[in-house]
Amino acid sequence: MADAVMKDEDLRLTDDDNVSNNMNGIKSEKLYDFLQTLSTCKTNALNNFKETTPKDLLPLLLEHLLVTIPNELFLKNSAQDQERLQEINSWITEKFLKLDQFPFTILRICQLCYDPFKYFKINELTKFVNAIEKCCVVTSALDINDDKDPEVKNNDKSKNNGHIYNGTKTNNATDDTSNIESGNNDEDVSLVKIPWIDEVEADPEFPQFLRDIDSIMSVNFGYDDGEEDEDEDMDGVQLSMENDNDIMMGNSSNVIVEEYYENDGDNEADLNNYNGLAHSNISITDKELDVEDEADEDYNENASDNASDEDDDDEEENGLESNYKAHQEVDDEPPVQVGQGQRLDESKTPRKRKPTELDIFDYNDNSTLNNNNELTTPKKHKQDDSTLVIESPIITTTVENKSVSVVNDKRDVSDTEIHLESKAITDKKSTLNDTSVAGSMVTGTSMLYSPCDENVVNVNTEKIRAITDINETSPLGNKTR
Amino acid sequence: MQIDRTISLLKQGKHITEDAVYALCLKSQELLMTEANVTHVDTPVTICGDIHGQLHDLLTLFDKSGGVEKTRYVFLGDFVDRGFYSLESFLLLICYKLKYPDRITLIRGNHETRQITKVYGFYDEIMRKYGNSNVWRYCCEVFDYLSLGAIINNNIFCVHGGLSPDVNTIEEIRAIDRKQEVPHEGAMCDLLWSDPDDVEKWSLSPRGAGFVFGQNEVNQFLHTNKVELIARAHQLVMEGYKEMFDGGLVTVWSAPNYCYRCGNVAAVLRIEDDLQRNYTIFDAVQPQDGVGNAIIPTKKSQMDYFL
Repeated sequence: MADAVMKDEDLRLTDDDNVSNNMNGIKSEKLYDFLQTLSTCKTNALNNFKETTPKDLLPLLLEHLLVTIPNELFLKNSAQDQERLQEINSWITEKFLKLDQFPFTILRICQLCYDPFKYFKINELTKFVNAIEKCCVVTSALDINDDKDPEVKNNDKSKNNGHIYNGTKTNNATDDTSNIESGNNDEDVSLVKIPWIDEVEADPEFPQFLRDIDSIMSVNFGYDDGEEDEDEDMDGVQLSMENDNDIMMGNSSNVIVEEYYENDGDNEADLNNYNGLAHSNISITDKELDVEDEADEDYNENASDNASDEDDDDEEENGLESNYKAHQEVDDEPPVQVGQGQRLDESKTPRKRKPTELDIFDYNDNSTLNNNNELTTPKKHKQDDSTLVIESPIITTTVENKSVSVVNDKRDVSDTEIHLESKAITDKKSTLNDTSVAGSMVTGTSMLYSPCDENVVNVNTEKIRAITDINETSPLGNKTR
Repeated sequence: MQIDRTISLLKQGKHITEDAVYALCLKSQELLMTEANVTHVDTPVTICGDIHGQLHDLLTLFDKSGGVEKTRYVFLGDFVDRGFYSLESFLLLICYKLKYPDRITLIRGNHETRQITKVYGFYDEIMRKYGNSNVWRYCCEVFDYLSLGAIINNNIFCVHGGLSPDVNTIEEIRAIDRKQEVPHEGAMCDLLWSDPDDVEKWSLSPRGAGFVFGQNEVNQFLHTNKVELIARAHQLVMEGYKEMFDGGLVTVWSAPNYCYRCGNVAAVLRIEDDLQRNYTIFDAVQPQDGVGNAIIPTKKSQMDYFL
């Protein structure tokens, strides 16, 4: 191999009349040998610097740089270039040679010195000096022994960031121990990590607990891992997928996930049912709610809410429902209030999330669909619900007072089928419903349209347009001149 | 600091430890510190426009334009924000800069500021990937050291946005104290924010920062400074590049299918030794859904609001 490389070099150099010998014009054989080895090294070239010392190498290199290169290799040598090379020389001597250190850019300096004509034409000494100057004017030294791996390892993460990665690690240990050894099992972790998870302190017993849960769950609920194992051959892909799931598990770190999976099926069914009836008869909603109330439904609702992305009605119903619930709690059932509050928050979460491009497209589709079927889009309801500050009974009362006439219409429906205690609340609810409809019709636009959307449309029509920052009025906006 | 290893990890879009990012940022500051506000670049060189965190397209760019081993590059800023891989894109450029200090020139764009990155995605990306803002702060420190412009062979002036009414000569740019957050007004702000358009004189910019300038301003600048071209980025161009004012100014845009939905092509401009301009057009990498390096991490990241 080395011979072959040598031959190549020889061949190339004989073609080049301006190089006096076959050592790239390098006078010192020692320097030539070193640079030559360096240039043939594809990986870990820096290891070569472990075998030499700055006191050995730098003087040779500097002499080559200062004398041979400008005078013998390049055609034109101007006083200005020579002066700059002198400066470089004294800089390296002062900052590195005297301290017995290499500049951290030493590898590049060697590459440039070894074969300047790989990069520059024979008359371009100035360009060479420009380049070498950029590489040499540094202050920090090469740390050859720094072999810290920049890759984030599972171990690091579990050590640094707490339990989230324990989940990954332990679960993989049960599934496939070899993954850990190969160090490949955290692919794509970067895209999945959930920030707030970090805030929780890691419990010393946590890994064991997780392992238990994981083993139970992976058996009982057949996580996606299994499916992907069958479907996909590509290791990387599969691993990354697994990890996602692992992390999910790690995050949830308690029974919540279990609940979610358990109830998922039922829920979807419920919802379909529920949506069909939703607009024709409110009282059914209420009844269902009463039944479900007993069960631990916080997560059911939300899970289905998220899961059935394609149906906006879900969200609407959930919004109203939680709305309604909140009243109920305030009025009648204080004990459950915490749970309900949580639920309210949860049902808002999707709205808070910044819509990504894909989401926006989804929402567009949905809202147009809904617009065709009904006068209002569900989003509008939701938005208004939130602005009404559902939790506060005071505000609700005012709303009720304002729109008494509307209430009466709805009450007919409600009265017949609703049990007594929730009657008053239903009234409130329908009031809310109506006012929010009205409100949304006034507003006219769905809040889920990002303002950039319009920009994008425009961009396609106009050739050049400040889409990049046209809506970036914010921080630098209030300039006055 | 293992630059080669870091580069290979970044190319795969993998996580880099906080410590490694810190080391990279520190070293790159050292390099950037010694550069002039308008740094000198030799031909042949490839001029690249906005990247905006589109790592896969950045890799395509290097692939199509010869690679950093063989070509000099000037990047006109806006490495971060909007795309999903701002951090990786920026770190990759920094790594290349550290490995080949003579090959990569980075110029500051209007997105390389704390205020803008907080709003347009880079900050959120760091929070998502690291759970804290340390890495964002390290990167912002580097932003403060980026050059404001570059001059190629004393003939082509490179800047992110455009001209400023406060700047007549390139020497005046060299006098700016650039090591600061981009101010809301003044020469430094204008260089990063202005746009060219068909206007008679300096006009207010709809962006709220910088100005809109026309052929007169461009001609005067070219004449005063004895340059023949202003190369800038900052605005989306569907064709990847657009020459204006009789070839006195060119907009280069290097983020294909900008924001993963604009459907534009991207371009880089290669300047030869004789200052001949060659444009290379390239298209966006096709997204691969469900694959480890899917460009848009939709399916998985949606999960985060379940919990």
